[in-house]
Amino acid sequence: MTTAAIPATPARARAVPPASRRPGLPGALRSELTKIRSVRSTYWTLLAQAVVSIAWAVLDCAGTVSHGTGPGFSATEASLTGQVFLGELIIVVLGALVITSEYSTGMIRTSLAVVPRRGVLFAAKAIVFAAVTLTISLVTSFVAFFVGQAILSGKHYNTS
Amino acid sequence: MTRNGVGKTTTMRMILGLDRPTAGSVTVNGKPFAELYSAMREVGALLDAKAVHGGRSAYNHLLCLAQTNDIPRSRVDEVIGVVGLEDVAGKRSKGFSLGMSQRLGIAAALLGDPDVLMFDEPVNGLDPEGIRWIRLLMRSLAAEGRTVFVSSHLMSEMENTADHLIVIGRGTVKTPDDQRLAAVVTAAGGRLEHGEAGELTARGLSAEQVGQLALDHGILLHYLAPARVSLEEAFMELTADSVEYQAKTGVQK
Repeated sequence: MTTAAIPATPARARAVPPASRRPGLPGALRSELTKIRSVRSTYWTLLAQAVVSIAWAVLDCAGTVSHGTGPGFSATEASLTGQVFLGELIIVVLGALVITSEYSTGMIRTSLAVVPRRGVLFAAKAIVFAAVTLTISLVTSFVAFFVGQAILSGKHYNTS
Repeated sequence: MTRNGVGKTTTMRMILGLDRPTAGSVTVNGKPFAELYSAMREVGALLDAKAVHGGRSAYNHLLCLAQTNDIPRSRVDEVIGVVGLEDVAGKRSKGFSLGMSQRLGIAAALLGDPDVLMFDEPVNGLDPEGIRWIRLLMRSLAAEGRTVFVSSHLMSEMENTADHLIVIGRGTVKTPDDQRLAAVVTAAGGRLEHGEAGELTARGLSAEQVGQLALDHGILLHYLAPARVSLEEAFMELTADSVEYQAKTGVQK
């Protein structure tokens, strides 16, 4: 009996090695790291976060040095208030950008067409964002703290 | 291939799991898209060339896609070469023309070297040179043994591009033994329909195949004629029921 046979596809040389295991979170994490480091907004927001946190510490501590301490003065607070008030807000901005930019540009459709498992994609995004911002915030916090303490030590207001 | 607004893009989106069908299910190589072992190695798709983050360079865009499926970096350089974007790979894709964006989207679809490629309206908005390039590329991809799905509402485009168009074949048949013929035609994957004046129309098989089937099974045919349908006629016939927006010719008084 004859039927319309579709010719068998000839075997072809593969340009890409087969996956040794099912691609999952590790690949998605590398991908998200590439994404976050390859757009300018990341650098601008992180720079703004560092500048604001450290500048606030400098102004707060310098003001204390010239005007004296008020009631309830805390040397640690003077150094880190900027980080908590404004620095954190800027981290929130970056967090929003990381996900909303995918939707506003339509990139999310491309992302989901290569990582069809939503959970893997969004988990990778959250982990990379958390790791990057935690690292940067730690660095800026320490810098802000020690800069502030150095200024306060002029009048021995620093934490002993 | 169908008309505007009927659901070509939606069908492709459902294949990729971006839309959920109201009823039914879509599988790729026997599995729902999200359960494929390595999605990029099985299906490459270009749905919307502008669905990229414009602030990211072409190279980094392709790299972040490749990394999700553990595809080596060297493949990124390869596909950039295939689509001819070497000179602008380091530039942010925001400034790309539509033609360059299409090339970038095709590069992304090729990253996993998949057996199945889907291009949604790939020639829309391209200049003649770009159309020619995409046409040749699709043909060469198919010649390498891939299945290339291309959606388009432009018939001339499809006639120029496709080696094989799957148009439902028809043959008009007359036989005194229509029940047996119907059985063998159905067994061979076709369908037999009763028409006017004792004529039967075989769908899904060519006239040659119907004739062969009849001979193999010793069925007497009085008449067998292929009903040739031009691509345009077939297109109009197949989509006649699904036209949503149709311009009326003539002015109503």
